[in-house]
Amino acid sequence: MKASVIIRRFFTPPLVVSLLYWRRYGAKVSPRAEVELTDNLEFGPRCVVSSFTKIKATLGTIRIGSDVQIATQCFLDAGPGGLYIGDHAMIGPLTCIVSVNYSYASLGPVALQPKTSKGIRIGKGVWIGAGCAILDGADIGDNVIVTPNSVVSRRIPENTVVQGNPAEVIFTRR
Amino acid sequence: MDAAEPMPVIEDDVRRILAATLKIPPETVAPDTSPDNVAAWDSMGHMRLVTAIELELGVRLTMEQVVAIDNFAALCRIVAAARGS
Repeated sequence: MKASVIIRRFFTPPLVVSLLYWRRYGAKVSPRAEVELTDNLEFGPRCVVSSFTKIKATLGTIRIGSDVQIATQCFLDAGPGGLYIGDHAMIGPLTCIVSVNYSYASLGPVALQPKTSKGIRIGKGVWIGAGCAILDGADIGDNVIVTPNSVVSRRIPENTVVQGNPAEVIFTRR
Repeated sequence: MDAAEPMPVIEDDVRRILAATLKIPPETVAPDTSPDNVAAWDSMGHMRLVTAIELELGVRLTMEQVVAIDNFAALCRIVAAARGS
């Protein structure tokens, strides 16, 4: 790891990170959030990242649209497949969004096996309830509501309400 | 027939679907069965109920009708109206 990356990642005060993202994108990042300072991460204007949320864009890019709200204690991690969140999306507290996965093709420690990453897309106007897990390969259509504690790892049609593990459509918005 | 009473034509079907969706005994479903007296009839139960009604009875409710369902009798009336339209 380059010295400049180490300094940027570990020695930049959180308040400076918040000010830089506010100045660059107009995003309001809590100084108590742990948001990586990197060109891999882009915010749209008026985004809000609440305290104790961690956003990691070391392996891939994260593109967050305008007016996105990310509540407290979330974890966002992008693999090479990337992570996209559309405008006006709302991410509830304690939600994990991780666009990286491990292969388990051979018997043995999973941690020693190759990582895979298809990427995650979260459409415009999506509302993700508290405690959800959005896993690699998830493709959530516009205006979807994901009810609390649901697990999403595949395509969800737009304008639907989904629930459960795996998340299934329980209602179509109209 | 009293306006508050469910319509007999579809009452049995709607009762069966409501009981199965909310996991309550069909014999306990009365005209005043509502979110106030069935714990499973919460906001998500309501959406599951509407989806089950639409799938099984082949109707399509408007959002105004969805939000107007406040008890079993109202559900039967709304389904009857949707079938007639």
